[in-house]
Amino acid sequence: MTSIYRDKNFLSGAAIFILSIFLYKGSEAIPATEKLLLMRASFFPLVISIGLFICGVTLLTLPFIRKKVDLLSLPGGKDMLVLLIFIAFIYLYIYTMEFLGFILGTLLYLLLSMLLLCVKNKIQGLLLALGVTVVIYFIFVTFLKVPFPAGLLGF
Amino acid sequence: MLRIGKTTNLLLALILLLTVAVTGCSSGKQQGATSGQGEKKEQGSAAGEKFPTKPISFIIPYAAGGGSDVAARLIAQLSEKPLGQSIVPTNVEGGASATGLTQLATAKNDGYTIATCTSTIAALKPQGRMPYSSQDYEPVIGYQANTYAVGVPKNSPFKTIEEFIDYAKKNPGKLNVGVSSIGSNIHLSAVALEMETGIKLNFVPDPGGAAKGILELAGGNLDAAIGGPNEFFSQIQAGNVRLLAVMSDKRNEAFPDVPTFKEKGINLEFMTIRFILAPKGTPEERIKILHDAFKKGMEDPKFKEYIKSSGSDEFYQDYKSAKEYMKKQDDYYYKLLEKANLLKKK
Amino acid sequence: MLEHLVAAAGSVFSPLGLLLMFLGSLIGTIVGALPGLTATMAVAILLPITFGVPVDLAIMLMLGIYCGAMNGGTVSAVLVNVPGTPAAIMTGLDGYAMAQRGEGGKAIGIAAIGSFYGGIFSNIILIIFAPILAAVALKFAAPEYFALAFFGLVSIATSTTKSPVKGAVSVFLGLLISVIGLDPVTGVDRFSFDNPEMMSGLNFVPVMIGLYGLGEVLMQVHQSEYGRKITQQIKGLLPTWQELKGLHGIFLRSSVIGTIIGALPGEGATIAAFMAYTDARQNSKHPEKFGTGVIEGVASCETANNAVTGGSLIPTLTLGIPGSGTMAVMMGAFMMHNVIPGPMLFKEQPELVYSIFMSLAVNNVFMLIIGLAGARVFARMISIPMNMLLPIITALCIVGSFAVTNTYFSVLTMIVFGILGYLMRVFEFPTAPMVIGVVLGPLAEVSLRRSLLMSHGSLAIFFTRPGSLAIFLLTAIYFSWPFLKRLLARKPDEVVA
Repeated sequence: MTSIYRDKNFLSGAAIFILSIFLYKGSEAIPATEKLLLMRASFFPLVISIGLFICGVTLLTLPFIRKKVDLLSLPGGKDMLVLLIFIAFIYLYIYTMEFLGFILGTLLYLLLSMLLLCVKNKIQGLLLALGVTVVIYFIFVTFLKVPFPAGLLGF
Repeated sequence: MLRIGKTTNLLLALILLLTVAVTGCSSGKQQGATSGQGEKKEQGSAAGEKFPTKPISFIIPYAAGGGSDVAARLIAQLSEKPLGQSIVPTNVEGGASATGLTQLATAKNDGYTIATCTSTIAALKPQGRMPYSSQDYEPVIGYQANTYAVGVPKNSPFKTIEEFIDYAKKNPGKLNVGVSSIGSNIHLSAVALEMETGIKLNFVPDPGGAAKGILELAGGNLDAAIGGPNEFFSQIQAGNVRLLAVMSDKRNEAFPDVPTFKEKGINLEFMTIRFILAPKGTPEERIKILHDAFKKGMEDPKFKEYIKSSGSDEFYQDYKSAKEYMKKQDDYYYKLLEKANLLKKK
Repeated sequence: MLEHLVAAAGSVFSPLGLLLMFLGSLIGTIVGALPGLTATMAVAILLPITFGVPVDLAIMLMLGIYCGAMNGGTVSAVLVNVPGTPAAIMTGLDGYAMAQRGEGGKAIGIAAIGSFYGGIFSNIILIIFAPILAAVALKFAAPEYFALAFFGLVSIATSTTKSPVKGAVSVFLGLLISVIGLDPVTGVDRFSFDNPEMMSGLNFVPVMIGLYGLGEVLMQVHQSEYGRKITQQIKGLLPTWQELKGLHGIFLRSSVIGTIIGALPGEGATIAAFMAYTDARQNSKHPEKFGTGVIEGVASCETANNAVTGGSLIPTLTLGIPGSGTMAVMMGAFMMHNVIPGPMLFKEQPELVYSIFMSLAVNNVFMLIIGLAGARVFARMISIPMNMLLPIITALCIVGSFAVTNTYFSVLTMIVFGILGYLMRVFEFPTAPMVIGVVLGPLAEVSLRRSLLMSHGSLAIFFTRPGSLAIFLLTAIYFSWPFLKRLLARKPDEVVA
């Protein structure tokens, strides 16, 4: 069973198992101000860590009990790259908003991401991005006064 | 159905990504949303110049709709006219006001960024929730106060606050008293009550504020509850709850029959006070201009009406005396937090 | 009484009153549909404007927003699986599945009708039984709330049929999120890593936007499904009479659940929707189809979460204790106009009380109109190809989560939970139990410890109080009912198609 390392249950079980151990350690470190365990601040975290521990172990052993692997399917190379760049764009959008300002940043983000996802009708995409930016700006900034950064153009 | 094949598109996107990344880096570190992008901590210009020439941004470090939000929005609205500029309130919520106040501390000290705060500010630094204390800001004005009251169910054996304290003295830790979250102002007012009278109470805290405690009080499930006088209002009207005493310096207008602790010879005065703050180093003449405008806003009949209808107390400290007042408050809160064992462990 | 009724009707049905309510419903629907914007925020921002307006008109506008937001939350949950409000999370399960089949319009139509039913039902209950319900709510204290939260947690455990272990993990993760920050009962720090923003706990709304909004978007990109375009049926939006007749039982049961949960102070709409959904499935003849796009799934939670609107007015008006976040703000508006909500309101200002009841009913009618008329427009909206829609949804998630607290921290929270939501989808963990864990966690934990504080450490408090004992017993009976029924009845009930 070499493919066990690509089994959904095994992988998530391992992650949850590790989390539960850290959680248990963390719960024990919470200062106890009450005598009764049920009343302590650490009681719920302890219950959660024990619960996650049991679930984690169950998931780890599931593929062995069922004698069947439930393979994790990740997208192929190019699709994976698209996903990663999509996430990178989100980061950039937030990071550059202070500098670019809300309208320019949002517009650029929308256009870049649409380009990344291979929009066929470019004109429709451009119009939609423009429209959405303006509508968001109107609702959030003009009406609700959300303080988005103004950026280099002043809006 | 799968049609990514256009490497050109991908390449183009990557190039754009790079250029955006480069320009992004040059913009430097992100600051708070309201702080703008100029260099900070620059002294304001010389006296006599015109201020303000653009809208003031006003940070409200609490969620929209809460008591602090309503009071701050109202005073901002009423002070715009005397100031001659608009005051734009923004809710910057989080960390029991620590997030918004940290943003203020790092904002440009030119008087165009101000914030409201409550006495909670005195509890933040000792609890390790914020690196700044009240002394790291310039107070503009103290404009409103909310006090707390001790309520008991209608059929409670305690007719006066003395009876309540006597019983608590003889039976330490026996009385169940509803308060809000441990470390909140309502809880600290109860700690102050314990400290000044030498009693010990059994606190039943609720994160939702005083509301649930008052409801349980009305249902006879608690021995007492502490909360704002107006929060008790409807249950008092219905005859389910009685107030024993209020913690303000003088009697509350809405409850003229309820004595203060001071009258009863107990040295307890506890109020949550709302101030307006500016970043440290804001020029004094600008603070004065702001102070004068807010003072006018306070004198507006609408604000007086609000003080009455919300069951709060009139309170005023000018920008000079407020700093001293806040320092005293910091020391008192430190003592309370120490007693409640809530100080940040070193 | 009659003169008060006439006077109330006079202000409710005045052109200005009707206009304000319609505007309120419209604003509410838009606000509700956008993730991150809540009815509480919209009402709070409009509050200063209403200072100079007569109190009954101000309340009409606010009730309009409140009802409209419930409705709007549904729209985005159905169309793009991004619930605009937490209360619409359960709606997304079946509503989105229907939209995937091109039946998005129908799902919105059913939701509108269910909401109308629930709203009117709870309004009627409010008028007739408000004083009695208030008296019952007054008897509720921490032990009863714990019993209720316990019921909720047990019902999640039984509600995930596909993989109970993964469902349990999801619940525990939700509970874990709810314990982060300074503990309200002792003031000690739990898992906040000395971050001042985490000390006050993670804000629920960005967590939800991440799990549902961004998580879903990333999954769609992962599956490379962004070239897809779902053609929505524009015709046949209205459910048939036959379908509605079949839903009658669900409408009624869900309305009752929503009204009861709403009558208890606290943010009830999410819990009510969840409980109604579980109930509908438990009593369904085909429980396995829930989650694949059945109209019962949409109808049950939408009816219940809207029944909460009327229900939550009960504690606000009769006890003076706000029934939800929005109600807390509205109570502030009452006080500002020198109206003290509480037991005396019915005696002292019956006219105002009647106009509240009436405007709630009228708002429900507007909501139905906007919902049904809008279904067509909304359905058209997602005929936009996915590769244009996904960036737009992402931008909305970022903007929306920023608007919750106006800090970058909530955007960061949203992104972290977006990635977690994506991983949970990849590894096939259900996300709904997690959200219910976040909602019920604090209620369960705090009320357990409050009860024990009240009893000075004795567990007997849960069994000596009639209220909590009754809820615990009912929980036991409710969940063993399917087994009991099988034991009692030899042959299955006759099935009428």
